[in-house]
Amino acid sequence: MYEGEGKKGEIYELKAELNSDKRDRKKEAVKKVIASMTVGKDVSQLFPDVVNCMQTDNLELKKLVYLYLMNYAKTQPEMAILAVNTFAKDCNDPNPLIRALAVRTMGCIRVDKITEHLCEPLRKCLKDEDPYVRKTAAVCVAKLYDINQQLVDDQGFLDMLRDLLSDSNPMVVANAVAALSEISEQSPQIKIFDLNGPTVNKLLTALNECTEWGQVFMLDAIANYAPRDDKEAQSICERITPRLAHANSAVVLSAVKVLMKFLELIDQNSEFAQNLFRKLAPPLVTLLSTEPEIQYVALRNINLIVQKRSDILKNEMKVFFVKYNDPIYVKLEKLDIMIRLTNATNIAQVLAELKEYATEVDVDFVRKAVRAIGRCAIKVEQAAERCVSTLIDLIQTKVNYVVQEAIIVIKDIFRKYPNKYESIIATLCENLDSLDEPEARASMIWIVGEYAERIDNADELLEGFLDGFKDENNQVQLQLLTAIVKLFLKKPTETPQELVTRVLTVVTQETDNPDLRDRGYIYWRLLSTDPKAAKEVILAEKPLISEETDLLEPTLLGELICHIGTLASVYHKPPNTFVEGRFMTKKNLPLRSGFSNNDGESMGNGAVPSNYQESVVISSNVGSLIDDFDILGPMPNAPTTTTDTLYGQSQQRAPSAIPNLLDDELSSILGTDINMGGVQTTPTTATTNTSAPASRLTTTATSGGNLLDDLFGDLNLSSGAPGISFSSTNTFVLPKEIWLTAQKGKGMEISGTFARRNNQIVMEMDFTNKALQPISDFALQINRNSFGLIPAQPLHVTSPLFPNQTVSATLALNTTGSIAKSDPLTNLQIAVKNNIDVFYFNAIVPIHVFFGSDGEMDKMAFLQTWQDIPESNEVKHQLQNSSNLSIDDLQNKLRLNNVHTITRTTIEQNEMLYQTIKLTNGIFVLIELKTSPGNRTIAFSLKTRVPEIANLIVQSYELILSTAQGAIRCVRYNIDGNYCLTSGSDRTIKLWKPDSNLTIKTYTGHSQEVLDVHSSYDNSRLCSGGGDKRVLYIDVMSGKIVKKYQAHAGRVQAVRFNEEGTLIFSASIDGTVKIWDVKSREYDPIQILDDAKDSVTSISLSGHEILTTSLDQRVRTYDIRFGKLTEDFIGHNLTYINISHDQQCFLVGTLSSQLMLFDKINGKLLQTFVDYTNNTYMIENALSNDDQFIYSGSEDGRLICWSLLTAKQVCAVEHEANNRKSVNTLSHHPKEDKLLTAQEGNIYIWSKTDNVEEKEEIKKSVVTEKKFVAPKFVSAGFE
Amino acid sequence: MQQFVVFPLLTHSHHFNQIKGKEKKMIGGVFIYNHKGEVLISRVYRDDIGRNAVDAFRVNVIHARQQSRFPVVNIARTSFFYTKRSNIWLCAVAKQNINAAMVFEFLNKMIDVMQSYFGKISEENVKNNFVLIYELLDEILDFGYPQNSDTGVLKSFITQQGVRPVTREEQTNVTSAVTGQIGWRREGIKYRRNELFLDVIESVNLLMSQQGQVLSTHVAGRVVMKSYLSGMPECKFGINDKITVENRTKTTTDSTNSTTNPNNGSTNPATTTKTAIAIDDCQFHQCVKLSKFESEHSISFIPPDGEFELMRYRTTKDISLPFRVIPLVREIGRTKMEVKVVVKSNFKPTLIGQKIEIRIPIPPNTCDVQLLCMKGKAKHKASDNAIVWKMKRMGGMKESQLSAEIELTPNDKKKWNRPPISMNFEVPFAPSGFKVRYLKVFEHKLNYSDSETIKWVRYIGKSGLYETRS
Repeated sequence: MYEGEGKKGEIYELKAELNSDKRDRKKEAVKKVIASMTVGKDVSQLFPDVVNCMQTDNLELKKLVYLYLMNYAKTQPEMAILAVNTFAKDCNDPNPLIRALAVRTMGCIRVDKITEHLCEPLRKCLKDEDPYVRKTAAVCVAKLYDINQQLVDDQGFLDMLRDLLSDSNPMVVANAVAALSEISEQSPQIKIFDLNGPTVNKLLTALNECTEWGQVFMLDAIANYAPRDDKEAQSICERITPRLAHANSAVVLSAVKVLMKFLELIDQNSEFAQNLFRKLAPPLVTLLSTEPEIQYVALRNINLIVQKRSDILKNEMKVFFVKYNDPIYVKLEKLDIMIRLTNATNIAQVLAELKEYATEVDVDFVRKAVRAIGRCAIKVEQAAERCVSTLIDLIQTKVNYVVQEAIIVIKDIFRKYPNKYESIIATLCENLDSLDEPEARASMIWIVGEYAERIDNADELLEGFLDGFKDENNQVQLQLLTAIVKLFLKKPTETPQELVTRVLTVVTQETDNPDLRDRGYIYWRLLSTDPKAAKEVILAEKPLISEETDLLEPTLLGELICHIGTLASVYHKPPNTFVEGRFMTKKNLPLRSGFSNNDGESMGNGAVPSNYQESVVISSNVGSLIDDFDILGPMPNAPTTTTDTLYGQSQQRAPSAIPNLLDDELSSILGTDINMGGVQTTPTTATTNTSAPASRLTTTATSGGNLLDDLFGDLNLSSGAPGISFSSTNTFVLPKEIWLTAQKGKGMEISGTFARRNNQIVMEMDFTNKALQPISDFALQINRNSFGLIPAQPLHVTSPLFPNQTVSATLALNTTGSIAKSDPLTNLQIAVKNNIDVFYFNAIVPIHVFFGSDGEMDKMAFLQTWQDIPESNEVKHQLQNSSNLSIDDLQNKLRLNNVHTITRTTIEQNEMLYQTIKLTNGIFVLIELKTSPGNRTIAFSLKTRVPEIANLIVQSYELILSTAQGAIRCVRYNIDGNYCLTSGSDRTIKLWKPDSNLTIKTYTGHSQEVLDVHSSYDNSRLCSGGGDKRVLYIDVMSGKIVKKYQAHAGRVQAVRFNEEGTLIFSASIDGTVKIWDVKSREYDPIQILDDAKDSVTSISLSGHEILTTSLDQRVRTYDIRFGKLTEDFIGHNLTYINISHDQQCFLVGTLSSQLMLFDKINGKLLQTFVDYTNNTYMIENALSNDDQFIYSGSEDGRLICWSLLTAKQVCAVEHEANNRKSVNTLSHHPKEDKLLTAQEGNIYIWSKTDNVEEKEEIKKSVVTEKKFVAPKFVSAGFE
Repeated sequence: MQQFVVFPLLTHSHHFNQIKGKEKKMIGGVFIYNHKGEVLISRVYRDDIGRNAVDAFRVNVIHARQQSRFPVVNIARTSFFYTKRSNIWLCAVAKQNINAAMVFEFLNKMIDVMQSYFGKISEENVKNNFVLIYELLDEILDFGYPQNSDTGVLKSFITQQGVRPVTREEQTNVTSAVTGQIGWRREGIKYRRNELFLDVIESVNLLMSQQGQVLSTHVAGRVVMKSYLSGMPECKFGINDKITVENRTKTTTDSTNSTTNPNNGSTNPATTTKTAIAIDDCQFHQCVKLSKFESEHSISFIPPDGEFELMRYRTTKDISLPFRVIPLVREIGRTKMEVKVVVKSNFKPTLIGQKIEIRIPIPPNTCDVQLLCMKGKAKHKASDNAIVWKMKRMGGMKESQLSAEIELTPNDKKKWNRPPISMNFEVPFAPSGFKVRYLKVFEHKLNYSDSETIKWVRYIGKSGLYETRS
């Protein structure tokens, strides 16, 4: 059937065959057409030929032609008309099979023009004498309704369908029920299928006689019926109960659904109800001997039923024992149900089983089993001890994921049984290092914080976590914050105090997470105002953890019970979460009359006011809700409604109600939250909003003045520590936000941001395809706007964009377009077209991208303009200098964003800055900034002729001041000097093209500052090491991390490739050099050189030798060929080593401000170079390519050059006038006489020139700002 | 075969217009794929399912086998229900909250129907019968609603040789059979000899701990009937179910000899002492009048012609386990293992168990196995990582033993978790103690009496999942 594909003229051949006279050939040809259609080939052009074959008595051929028609009629509506006559004729055929076939097919041809012709035959068929035709016609009404609702109404088909409910043939009734149910769900506002007592009675009668599927339709319909009273419910239940013995599991589950629903209406304690409960169990158990897929559906439903009525299956524990060959999805579900059924009588058995499961191989299953043991302990008190000892046994296995799971559950056990099992804490602490999952880490931190007084080295442990704070998951960060504060409150000594200071600084100033920051401020406030209150709040008694841990929220459970058997019950989610389309009627369990409020099991239905439902949930369940959320992590289906409102309150109120933080009601909410170390995350709010209240808090804290004052004194100091100025390479860029949601974009999602790159405004976008089909043919247009933005080039997006694929696109923009004022001013209306449709959306352009680079103004002109603009145009504002930037840093930062400082003065200790901005459309903005020492606010005042933009400027100032900071730790030329690499305390590595001042790529992956980076000799890979103790092996092109080695015990000071790029050498302050084979699949080093007695500070490779320096004052030379180690004792702490290009000497830097040159062969000191400062930092040195000159940075901000032979300083140049910050890193160009250095966040290129005249402009520096090489270097060096 | 299908733009826009606010309550489409993910059959019933759904399943499930661990997956708000038979994937698609149990039941039913038409579900067979499959799909699923899917009825008018030419009378027979109240039997059947065969087939499921403690056990029983009866016979079926028996003893307390009749119990000696058993749950063929069973606890029905499964039941109490496996596994160092397995038969010595097979799993890094068994044949099957020990027959109350020395290659790092030892067998009695008490046949029109029908009853006990942890 599938042969002959791809041949040329295949369609032509088929055409000929279709028109053949021979019936057999015709039939074969149609078969071939259908086969092509199946695999997705377009055979629509054969339409007329296939339709011609319709006129046949051969039923099989007819069926094939009809199949073709159903598929292609839509594409050829004109041609489809041709088929109408045949349909009409077939509907009168004496053979009922043909009549039914015609009416069945007609309904599937979704062409409006045909629909009209359908009505008459359909009407006839609905009254056909043959039930087979009638049952087919019934479904056809539903098909027709799907095409044209109006038509069905007008033609009275609905009434005819309702009449069929009384048909003598049960299958006709069943299909009529199915059709009516579907129609009524499509139009819920009209009462199309109004079930009443007599109708239900009819259905119940037909139920006994129709097919299994028909029974399912009917039972599902009956489930929607609301019985008048408990008597009617009871009688319906009685008539449905026999269905439980049906062989079809869908019938059984649908019957269970009706019974579960109607049982709500019947007195739970009546004999009838009790009897029914007993009858429910056996059929449910029987479902477990079906095919695994059905078992899965059954188990998911049983899970719901057990939550609603746990007593139904309480004696059936054994059937849920996991079988070895069960598919994993069945195993996981069974396990879940086992826990729900666990009680004191069967716990021994369950525990034995769980122990067995914990030794299985499937990771997910084992994890769940371990967790289940913990849940048993919480549920059954008598067994807790046994569970704990089982868990301890499991921890001893040291299987990583088992240990982590065990720790997570043990934390809950501690909560449930305080002061009982704490003796095992020591065992837990042993496993601290192996925890790498957030939840386990968070749990461990919670334990450490909670029992800080019992753990001697709690401060050390927490400090260890704090070192990698920024790299941690949110959940862990929150826990760590709380744990450290707890520790401080419990042991208010030296170290914890320092820790608290550190963590609060990090949390409040360096994180973007509002939860974390808010919690930080709350603690800060508590600690600074009233330590006693802090103790009461933070160390308060915790509410006991509830027994049942991950129950569904009752209203959700109620809704899901109404959906038993359906997808909703499988996903455990209400239908509207996974179904497309409009709002659907929400199902609720019925409410029994005379229902009493204190009956915790009952639930409200739609008639009960919604706030009533909520109050039930909160009052009865508040403790457990928070527990679930906090400690067990997200529940499978978080009870969104209640927790959201609960947390929503605290979210909204916390910032606004800062002064009354300890108001009773609020603190009760926050109190529980804080104590348990919650992990709620709410959607991140805009950074601008959150930063404002944050800084307000800071000011109150500093002026608080109490016993914790010095603590915050430290805080202020630490944030003003030296060496953290940072210049970003371009103006700052806001994170991308979603502009067009997939829902609005018919599957295409666009997120984007605006930026100014190399003085060009660009739009950076991510296109994501969330639809099922590829998207192509992208184009973009921008509507007229305030600043005249238009695309400078057509949009280029890789097309087609396949499902689930994301591509990025950058579009340069010009400001030369036509101008129309948009509202708000910076709003941009964008239209994106693709092959599906055109989509319109709005985006706000941050105003700072319009700041031009040519905005400098003469002092006098500034003064003049300032005075010319009327007072009324002046806008004043208080800016928050939350990161406590110095006036220089402030100026730098703003300058990078094209805010030009005209002049700077000091008036009465207040620093004043006068600045201008020129927007692309020529508008000037004049700004005055006033900072006063010790005050974190900056007085801001602005004048412009266009007052509308004032607020936007204020916003952009706030944004600029809050962007990240970082210093450059390392600069390196690559092998040929065409590129250079820098790494910094901002945890990134950047690749530059220094000549054209271009950032090519940014590499991330380190969690702390990156201390050294090296590129392989073929430029394809990078290696880097940093404060996070990691060594990364990175692919240059893709930026992907190929290998991540986590083996050093301290920060990695230096990394080098060997010449072939196959080995990485890494040196660390842990005193070792480790050698990694990057080609190997092992993650262990192939060799460890651990001869050093102190930190190894640098490595240098030369042929077959490895030279290292160490703080134990020795240079070690490893000769690989002989396996020989030579130690040279220098007598100074060594920082950096360089081998001369002739390989004869090595140059080492020392912490005693001298560079020393040794003969490599005999270790003789050849030369000493002095007169620079190096006492603290690891200052690097370099040799010129001809070994004539020696260069080094200096801690006083200079670059020094000595002659090698004479050891005389030939030059010493300052990087910036008046900037005496240390210059640590430098790299010599491999070919030319150029040097790369860095001071703070700026990178400098120095080059030699013979022409003294050109000293003003020799070379541009790498950073965007223009920075020129000091001329002295040139003239002094080469005479 | 093409991988990506570009559909005309027209269908796209049409598709989007249709989605808005429409509820599609039933199966939207059925696809069959081969193991490579190529579509063999694609039948779309609803507009909201496009051709792209076909590709979505291939990409997200078939080609990403490891990731999807559930039989229902939701991709881009479309739910895919799937099952796999040998190398063939069957998948049903829906966009709405449809009855999941029904979809899987339907898929299984579809597999049954296809198997009864052309045997094994294989790529070859599906390709060769694609026209037939389309025809069947058209018949058993209308607009996504399952219709009559009884194989017998379907075969009466859909055949592999094309549609059977039918007379007008037959046509009405067909349609009434498809829709009728007794869809399972046609009128006018005649046999010279009225015969019926009853097979009680029980599968014993067992999970036993290492220590010989029974963790769980149940019997899944089936009563399969082959009826060759004329006309429209009404049958009444009686079993030794506790409830029925109690009912009967209550009503007939005056007659003393009614319950124990050793004549028909000759086939079931293991449970002769038991008179009644407790059935946990039972299900019946659709011909059985469920309401009557509910009210009177009597099983009455008009049987289909030929073979069918009358009843299924499950018992958990008082099961006589025919065999007991006692394993002894000793790991001697890292490279050696010793396994000893004892099998004991636990039924009357006059009876004989057959087709006994014991499967003892061994680690995958086994390099050599030395076997010694007292009875039967034992083999090391390297491909299955198991020792298979077969005995053709074994009498009751006997015992047999196998011992094996296993040598291992030490390099394997992964821990071996011992899978359970499983066992297969067949015994000539019902381990649950199930007994047929009577089967009465009444035919009013043709007037042949119950005593004239010839009845055969047979009991077979088989192994289900019969496992002992080692």
